[in-house]
Amino acid sequence: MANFITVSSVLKKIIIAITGISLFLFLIVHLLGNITIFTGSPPGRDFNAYAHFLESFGILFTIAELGLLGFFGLHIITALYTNFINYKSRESRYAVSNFAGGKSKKTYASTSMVITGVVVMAFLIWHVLQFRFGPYYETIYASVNGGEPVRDLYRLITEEFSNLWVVLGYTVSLSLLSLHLGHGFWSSFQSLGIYGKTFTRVTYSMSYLLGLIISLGFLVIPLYIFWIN
Amino acid sequence: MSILKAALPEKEIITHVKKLDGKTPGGDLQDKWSKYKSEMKLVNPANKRKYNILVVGTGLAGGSASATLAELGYNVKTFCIQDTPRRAHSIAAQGGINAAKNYQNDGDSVQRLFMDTIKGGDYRAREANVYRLAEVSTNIIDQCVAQGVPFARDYGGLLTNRSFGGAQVSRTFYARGQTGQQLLLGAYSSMMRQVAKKQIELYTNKEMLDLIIIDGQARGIVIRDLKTGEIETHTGEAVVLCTGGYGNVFFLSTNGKNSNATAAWRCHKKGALMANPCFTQIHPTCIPASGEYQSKLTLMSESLRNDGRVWVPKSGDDKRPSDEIPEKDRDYFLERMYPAYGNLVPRDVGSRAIKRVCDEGRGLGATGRAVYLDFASAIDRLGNKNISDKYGNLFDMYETITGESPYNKPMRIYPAIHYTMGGLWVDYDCMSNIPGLFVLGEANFSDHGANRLGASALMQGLADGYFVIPYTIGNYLANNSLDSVSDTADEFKVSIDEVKKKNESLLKIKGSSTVLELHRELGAVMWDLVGMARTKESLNEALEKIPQIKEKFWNDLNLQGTENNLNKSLENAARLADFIELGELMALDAYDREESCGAHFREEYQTSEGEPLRNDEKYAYVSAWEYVPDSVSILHKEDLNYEHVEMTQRNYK
Amino acid sequence: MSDVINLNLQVWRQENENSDGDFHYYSMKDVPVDISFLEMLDILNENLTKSGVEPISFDSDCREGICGTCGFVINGVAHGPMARTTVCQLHMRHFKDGDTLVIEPFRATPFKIVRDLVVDRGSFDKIIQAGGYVSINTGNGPDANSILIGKEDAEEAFDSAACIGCGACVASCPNASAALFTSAKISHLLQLPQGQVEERARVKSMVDKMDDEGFGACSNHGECEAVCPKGISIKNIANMRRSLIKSIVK
Repeated sequence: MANFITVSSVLKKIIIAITGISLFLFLIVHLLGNITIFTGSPPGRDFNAYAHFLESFGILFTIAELGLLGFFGLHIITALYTNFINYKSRESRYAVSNFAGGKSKKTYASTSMVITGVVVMAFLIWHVLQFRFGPYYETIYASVNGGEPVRDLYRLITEEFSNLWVVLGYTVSLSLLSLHLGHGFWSSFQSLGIYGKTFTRVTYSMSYLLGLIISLGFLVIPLYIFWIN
Repeated sequence: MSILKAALPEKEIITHVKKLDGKTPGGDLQDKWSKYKSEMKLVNPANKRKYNILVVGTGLAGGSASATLAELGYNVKTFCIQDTPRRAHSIAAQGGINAAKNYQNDGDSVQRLFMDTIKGGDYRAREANVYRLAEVSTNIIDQCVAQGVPFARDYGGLLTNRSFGGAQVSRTFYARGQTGQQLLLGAYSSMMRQVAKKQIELYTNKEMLDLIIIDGQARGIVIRDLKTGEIETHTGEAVVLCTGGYGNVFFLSTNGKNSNATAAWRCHKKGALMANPCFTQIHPTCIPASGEYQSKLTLMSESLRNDGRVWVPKSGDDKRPSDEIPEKDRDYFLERMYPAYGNLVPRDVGSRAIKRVCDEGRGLGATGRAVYLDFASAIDRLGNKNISDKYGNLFDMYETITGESPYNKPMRIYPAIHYTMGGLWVDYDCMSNIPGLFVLGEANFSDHGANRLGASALMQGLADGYFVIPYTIGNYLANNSLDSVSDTADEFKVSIDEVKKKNESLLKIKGSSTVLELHRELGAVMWDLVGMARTKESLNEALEKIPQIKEKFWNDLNLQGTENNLNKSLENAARLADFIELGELMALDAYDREESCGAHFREEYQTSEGEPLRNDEKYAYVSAWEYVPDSVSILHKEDLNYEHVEMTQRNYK
Repeated sequence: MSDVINLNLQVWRQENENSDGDFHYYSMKDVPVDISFLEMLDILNENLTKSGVEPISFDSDCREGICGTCGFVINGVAHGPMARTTVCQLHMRHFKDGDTLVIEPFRATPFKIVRDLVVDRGSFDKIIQAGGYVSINTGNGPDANSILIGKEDAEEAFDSAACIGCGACVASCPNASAALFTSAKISHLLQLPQGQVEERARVKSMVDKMDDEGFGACSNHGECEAVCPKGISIKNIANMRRSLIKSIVK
């Protein structure tokens, strides 16, 4: 740990960038998996089949989960520590703070990464408790798991997302995630030293859009479920 | 203090009978420096670390000297008034640095650079010094490139050059319009390397206020910590003064606001001779003053004259906008008056020509103190892109200040005080008449004679610091046995007392005139009466008015605050007190020199074509003034003997 | 002198490094729009001096935008509202009659406030001391033309080398990071053959020094580039990071 603290600020940012990009890729996979909610009959069959398919990897799945947890942990701890250093680097604050405009990439999103990050972290804990460790319903499909019972996550989802407060909570959290990704996506490349006049312009200009698309993609499910119920 | 009275028709100037000796070594001009170097005594490497060298100032001269002396193994203490040694005003030099590399194969050589410099200085510089300067110029470029200075390059990867005023070859190396900055940062980085090696002790925010002389040798300095006001002392075996020029005597100049003469002037008051103080250079291409609150003038690099054409309307009544004035109604007066050099005549010649057309009533704008510098034909010829590559940042700077773009409208320019050729007198070793006090760069009376060529200031500062002082200081140290001194010596105590008393007395005046007002007043007198053109009458008037300003200063100064913390007004007041005294000496020097030479133009002495008329019979000397408390300074003369050059009338037609 | 404007100024005043500071309020009448921001403060200081109040301390030297001495924050933006402009080159024609301007010093823990708007940027020197140079002694340079550098490489190196060390990048960075300053020097030298020799040692040492001095970490707000009087690009920061990765991987 001592070694970690003494790693230079530049390396810390590189760690944040690598874990960030990895988590970003995980989100994309997660989002693609979510599409199964809308397919299959009866509703939820494909989704539950997909969840069962993942679980069927057994120990490998657990390792993947732990790995993911590790990436989250590293991302969060490094970022929080860096943020602590950053806070100390300006002991007396400005009375007025503003945006220079022009070539600046400073936005409300970029200056609130730690806030959006912490909220998203809290959201993730909730999300995991809600579903991964939530009530265990079972169901049976003839075509899944050879007709043996599988976990009925779809039912859990339907129950949870029928609750207005849950849907509102998701909406807020995912909006903040979109801001987090908006700055985080292009910024990861910059942190890794990948800069090109065109490349940076393109990644920067699509970054916030990408964040928005991903968040909306996730948000579709609670809204859809809430709507059909 | 001065006993000069306006009533006296002739000033009584006492001339010291013994001629000053510049200690130029013998031998052929071409071999003097190398022969001299090979005969110098050396300091044993193990002994070098026993010597403390105090370097004051961190411009090109101070930075390069500090770094080089530290590399050699001396213990160097470096002092600067800024928060970091990367800020000195060398940084503002735009155009470039000369060197006789002959990379352009256009016939340049050490001999030619030497001749151009001597001629440009109107034969008032020391021959051997100038030759040495030209000789080491080539090493400077090698050194700077090795440091990583990003000079302009051609597509083939070789260095490129531009031509500059007063030269018919392209020998000026440049880094866009920020050559001074890049060279200074080169010297600064070398210095930082030595600081990291603990070979240099760096003192920032410290201002030198006195020189300590013990047994006739410079052995220490007294400084004020500008943040706390504390007075501190440092001892050493030699003091290297690199504190720049005194252009701010004129209040409005292209110098930085903090450029001052205080360290040099305090040395002068301790016995160092002040040489040629009236040789002040006017730069022809500055942005004209816009109003009374103007705090400084901004220079537009002279390199602009490579592609810009200077003109005014033929008639003073022609008030049309520039683009409506047809070619036939324009007077490209530099091209008309000096067909051979055209817009590239030396600075003094150009400046006076501009003044002349403005005096004729053909100047531009409300003040009538401006002429056009027009790039239209260059843009037609080379295209916007090429012009922007060459001068982009200068054009941007011009637009930032004036709100007008030189791509569309011609620039307006007017001359301003830019550089001071005068300074503390030094011999061939760059040592003043006080043993152990070395003076480098613009602070010495330098190698530029009565007028400096463009792109030669950077060359001289770095030549002195990188290639002259490392040799000559060793020779001095090896030849002199220097007992150790302690900063508890009486000389230090007395000086600390004086320095403190002076600051206290400034704070006690409690009058009504601010430092700025008094400085403006001094500047107006200097510019009007001791400026671009001087007469006996104007100098007489100046010698009458300056003591009045001095009197007003000491009786009516309004200075707020205390001496125990950062107090910029106090710093400026103390500097102004010295500027006033220096201004008076400048007027006296100009009064004494009854000839015109280079930038020193006495209207009584000019050719029928309005060119300066030298008097080599009487004035082929360096005037070096000795300070006499409460009396007129005594004039020492160093005769200038030209063995290798024939003195001719400068002719840039 | 065409136009004049009136201004309300709110200026940070602080006696010294250790004392507490606060804002003082001044109203300025008939400020000519052709003068620079610092000339406007000169006028204010003249008025203060005349009324027996100590003038506001602010740093400036060349007043041409090249020495890097001046600089403070105007309404939350370092060097004020104009891009690529230091406060000495900022002219009053860019302000409107009746504007309220909040003027604060550059704030960052490593930049100690000396007095009022004056800060000490000596920590930049320490970063340069950690390796911002080519290790060559005077007199050892080979002939200047023996090192070939392509025009474009020279130009890019120059773009990085143009830094004036004013500290606006740090002042404007939400994290008070000195990444732009540090990377500009690293990048300047690594783009030239002379500087590449020591690249690995340099980048590590300078980055460590930057952290030791107490500057924050760069999180790519890019505000530094926007306020930089020389428009130094955050590309340099990417260069620094690549160089650091290279130094570790090698």
